[in-house]
Amino acid sequence: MPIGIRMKKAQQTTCSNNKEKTMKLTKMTVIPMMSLLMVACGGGGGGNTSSTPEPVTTVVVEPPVVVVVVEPELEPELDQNAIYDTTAELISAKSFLLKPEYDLSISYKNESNRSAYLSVCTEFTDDENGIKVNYNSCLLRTSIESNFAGTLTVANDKSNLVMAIWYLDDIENPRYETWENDINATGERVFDVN
Amino acid sequence: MLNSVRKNTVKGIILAIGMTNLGLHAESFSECPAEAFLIQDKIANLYTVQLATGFYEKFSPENWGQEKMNALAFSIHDRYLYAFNYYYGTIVRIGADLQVDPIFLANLPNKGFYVGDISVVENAYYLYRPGGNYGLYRVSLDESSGDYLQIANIVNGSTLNLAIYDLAFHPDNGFAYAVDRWGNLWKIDVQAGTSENLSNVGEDGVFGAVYFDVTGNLYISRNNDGNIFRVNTNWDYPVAEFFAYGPSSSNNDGARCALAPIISQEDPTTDFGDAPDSYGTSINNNGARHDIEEGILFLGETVESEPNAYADNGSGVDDNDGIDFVTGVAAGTTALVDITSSAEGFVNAWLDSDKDGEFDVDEQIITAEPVTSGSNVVAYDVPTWAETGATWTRFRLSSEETLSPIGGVSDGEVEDYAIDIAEQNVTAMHYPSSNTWATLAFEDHWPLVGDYDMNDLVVHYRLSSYDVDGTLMRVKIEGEVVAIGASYHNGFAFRLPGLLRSEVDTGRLSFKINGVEQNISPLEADRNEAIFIIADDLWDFVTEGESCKYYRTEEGCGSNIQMTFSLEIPMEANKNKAEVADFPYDPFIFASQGHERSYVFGEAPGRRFEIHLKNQAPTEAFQANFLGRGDDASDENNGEYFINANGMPWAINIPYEWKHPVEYMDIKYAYPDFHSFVTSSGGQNADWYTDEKSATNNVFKQ
Repeated sequence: MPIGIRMKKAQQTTCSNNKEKTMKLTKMTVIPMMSLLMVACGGGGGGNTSSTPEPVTTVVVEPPVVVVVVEPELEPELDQNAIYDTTAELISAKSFLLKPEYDLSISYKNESNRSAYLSVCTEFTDDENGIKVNYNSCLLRTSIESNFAGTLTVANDKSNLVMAIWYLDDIENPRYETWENDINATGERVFDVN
Repeated sequence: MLNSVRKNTVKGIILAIGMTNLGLHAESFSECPAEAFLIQDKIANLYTVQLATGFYEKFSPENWGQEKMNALAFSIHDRYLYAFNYYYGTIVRIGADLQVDPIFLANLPNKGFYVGDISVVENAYYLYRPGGNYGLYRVSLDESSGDYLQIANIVNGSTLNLAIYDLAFHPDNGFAYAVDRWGNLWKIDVQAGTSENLSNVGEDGVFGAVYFDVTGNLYISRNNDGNIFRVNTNWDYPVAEFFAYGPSSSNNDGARCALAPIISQEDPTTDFGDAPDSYGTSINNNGARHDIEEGILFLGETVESEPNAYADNGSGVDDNDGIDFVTGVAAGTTALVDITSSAEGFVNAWLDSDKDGEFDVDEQIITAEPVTSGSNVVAYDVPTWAETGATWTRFRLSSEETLSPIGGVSDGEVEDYAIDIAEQNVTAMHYPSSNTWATLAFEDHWPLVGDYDMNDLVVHYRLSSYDVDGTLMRVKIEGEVVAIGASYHNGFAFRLPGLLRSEVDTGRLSFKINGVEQNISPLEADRNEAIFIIADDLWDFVTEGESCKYYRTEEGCGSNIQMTFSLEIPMEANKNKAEVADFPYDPFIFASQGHERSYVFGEAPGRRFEIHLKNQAPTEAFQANFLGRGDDASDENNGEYFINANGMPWAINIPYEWKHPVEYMDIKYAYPDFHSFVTSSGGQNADWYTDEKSATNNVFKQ
């Protein structure tokens, strides 16, 4: 059994803010006996600091075992317009994974089952010389002899993709298809080439 | 442009040191030039030669007007060239300004000497011609000696009778060396007039120009084909290795300053490859190298010169830009490359298919392929016996049709690429892409909320999976440790959820740190799941900067990346890819054995302590009742892990080569859009993490 102190905040205090950027108070509660620092913050300054619970910090010092008093969890309120001075106050939906990427469903219809090589990449130039792909930027590379379908994970900052198809029976004439992300789209996107 | 710059390096360093008592006015070279000098033709032309590549260019002007000269020598004592001049019938001194001053000597046989050099250990010019009427002669060039400009016959040319066409003095042992027409290497004692046959170098012909470098390598240039060979005289039995394609000539004599390395450190004109040196890459290993000459023939958009392989020339320009692997490289298939050339030339290429660290003869994939300016799509066959996994390719472009994977050539470019040989019909998927980085950023105070500078550990990484019709063949994990902004000791690992330890083919597992294969298996013992331990304690691999607390998080505390890693994880047969989690799998940190954490733990928690990405369940090694301590608000029943009561995690994953905040800087002030991305659950500022969206003063800069 570990010795020392365990503590649990029954409820993480939140410091959601109002639009007037009201001052928040940071209280430092020192438990001298254990030289223990705890940080909490509370709604100071009034205004419309909605639903910010009072800080509840329960520390029971009883070495070596700490009995923790658990209060019912309260889901902190999500406020899309809230402005927080520090990330310690920031509130996220618990189910939101903070993944700055999206799923892209891709497919290629290989009509005559030609022997080909398919790449899906994020960096390319498109000018008077045609499309030039940076094959170091590919998310998918596969040889195909029939149709292909799959799902890719694409970084949010990559909004243009190219599919390059090289035919082994006609190496001078690759096919390029480009796709642009709809910035307002949500959920899985689709990049189909027929 | 390059040409004129290069000439200036020779011409522009002249000093006016007159040999005034002779009434000579030519100007000496100010330093020991890296170039060799070559004199040719009935109406003499003087060339500079880059021995490393064979690249040569005319140094003398069109109207030089000098008749044939030979027995060319460079004096390290006064930094002039000397030669025997057929017009004057005596020796001449040649300055850096190309002024030619004859030096008349009494009793010099006017018979045309074509062999000669000036000693390094004494200021004396030795001239030689075989046959009874000639021999070895010594002319003192030392003004302070009693025999200044006196000529002495050391030995008769029937006694010292060698079929040699040039000789060169060793940089420090006082002996002259030459290779005769049958390839015999001779070491000549010029004071005694004797010679010793050291070896047969294995190449015959008229070696009309021979040179030494400062390390004792003898370079011999063959007249009929211009090939330059390197003979290391330090070996017990020196033999010739092909070194570069140089200029051919019917009459030829060379000289150089034996105290200089053969590639200028200040003004290199040579392009090298990047593959490990087992492939023959650096000058010591006779690496593939090209003179960038006048910048006419190269791959891609640019070529950069460097004094040796792996030497950063400081330009920061990546000149490996000429080869596009438009298809993957799979064993037993036809693959395509798109080769961008600046002009007409020939391409030769090799693929280390057996992954033994060398380009063997049967590993040449493209042979003397003619290319033109612009894009050239070339098909080649990957051997059926090619082994899957990481290996190297080398592409060489030159006007020379036939090239080997090593040695120098006077034009073109070499580009080496690390590539991956795949299984036939494989589908490769990459995260975030085949050659870019994603970033993991950890706060390691868990279960206590930290300062959100998100730099307690920062790792760049990329992932690849290879499957054939849904059967997972391999997974590849590569990365580098970018920053550690905390004093806790953390290990770093990847779990592949859905993959069991027993499903990994441990016999073919590869684990490298800083490019070196590790003896220990990364696969954690005594687990059911496949967990790959990159490091038990990352502080074992990196150090903080001088007068810095941490590794690459504080201003002024930049250093090179000190730890890279790569894993290739082959599967036992028939692992269904759908059973394994998607990218980014499950990267996590854990507490290093024996190192204390915060007061939340009564003793060093060690491997039982883990921090994962948001809502990622811990591994079987984790101590379940650690959840909920401190600020942690995990709720297993709802699948919520490693979050605090605000729903915020201790680790974030960004599919981008992210610049982390400087030490103690809240991520909000480094990336002002981060908060609204979170509060809007991703609906706003979806690209909050890019360089363009950063507050540049608040992110770490190298």
